[in-house]
Amino acid sequence: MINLDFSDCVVLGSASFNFILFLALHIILLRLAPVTATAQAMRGAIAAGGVGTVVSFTWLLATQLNFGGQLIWIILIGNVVAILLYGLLVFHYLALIFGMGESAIRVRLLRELEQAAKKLTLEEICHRYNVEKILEIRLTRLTSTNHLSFDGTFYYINKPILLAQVCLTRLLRYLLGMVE
Amino acid sequence: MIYLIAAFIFFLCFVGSHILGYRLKVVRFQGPLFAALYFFWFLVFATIIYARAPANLSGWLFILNYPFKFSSLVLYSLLCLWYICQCIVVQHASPSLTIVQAINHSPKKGLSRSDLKKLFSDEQLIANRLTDLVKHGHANFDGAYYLISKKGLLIAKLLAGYRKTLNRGLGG
Repeated sequence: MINLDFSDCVVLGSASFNFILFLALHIILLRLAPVTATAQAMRGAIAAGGVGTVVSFTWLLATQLNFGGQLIWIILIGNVVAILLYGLLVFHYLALIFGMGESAIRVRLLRELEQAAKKLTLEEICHRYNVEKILEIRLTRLTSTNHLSFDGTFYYINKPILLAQVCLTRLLRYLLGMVE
Repeated sequence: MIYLIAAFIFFLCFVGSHILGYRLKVVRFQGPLFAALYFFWFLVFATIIYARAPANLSGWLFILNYPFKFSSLVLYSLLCLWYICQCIVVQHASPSLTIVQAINHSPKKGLSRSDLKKLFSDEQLIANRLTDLVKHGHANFDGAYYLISKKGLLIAKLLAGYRKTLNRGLGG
């Protein structure tokens, strides 16, 4: 007899456990890696969590229950769902928490105001943090993550991932009826 | 598995109702409205999941017998959050995406640093965001000077602690 509730709990358990594993691992790897290797450290932590999700889900189901001939199907479907949930958890962490500290201009401005510990005019703020610095940080990040390549004069698109995000944003703006 | 497919259908209902509401000018990007839409479709989905008898299909359709009820509800919730993230990107033009878009639209599919610098201005990137910080109570502005508020200070200190844990600098 198939215990469906158990397989459901294993999907959620393996996705959330390995998300926690990813969180722990990314802290360790980022502390060890230099700033220029941030992307590699994150990729390593994400991959380790993903492999952990598949292994833990498969192991738990295969050893704890007897599903007979249908085992392979539960493992296949369950793994796809577990990886999807794990991927979404990681995406939300990267987009809403890590990304906010890494690239949000508002957060950087807030930290500039905090570090100044006094009142600042717009000119003083722009002296500390400005378009030049914003561009420098982004170009360094985009080239170190191989999203862009640089031949010494020009920057080129290397990976289409960000381009896909641009297209998605444009599609959403179109669907929402927002003026381009 | 049928509920997993349903999770995607209810996610599309959530997205569709937001787009429809936005086009009819009934909703915008307010958090409470997103929450209301999310809970409405969540309740409909959960009611269907728990009111419907389990599937008992034979042949190749037996795959649909595995319900993954809880996983489906979590999947729906995470997909809705993904859509809300996309709405944040739609509202605030990201400098990285602006750079990629400009390079893609350039005739040579490549731009120099000075070309890219022309895309931005301090007014657009700094002044507008400072206005947002003041509007949301994270900073105070007396007409000439900006000063961090207590609420802003708390956020800045929390983020500083988080970045320190990761051994990373100011970011931005």
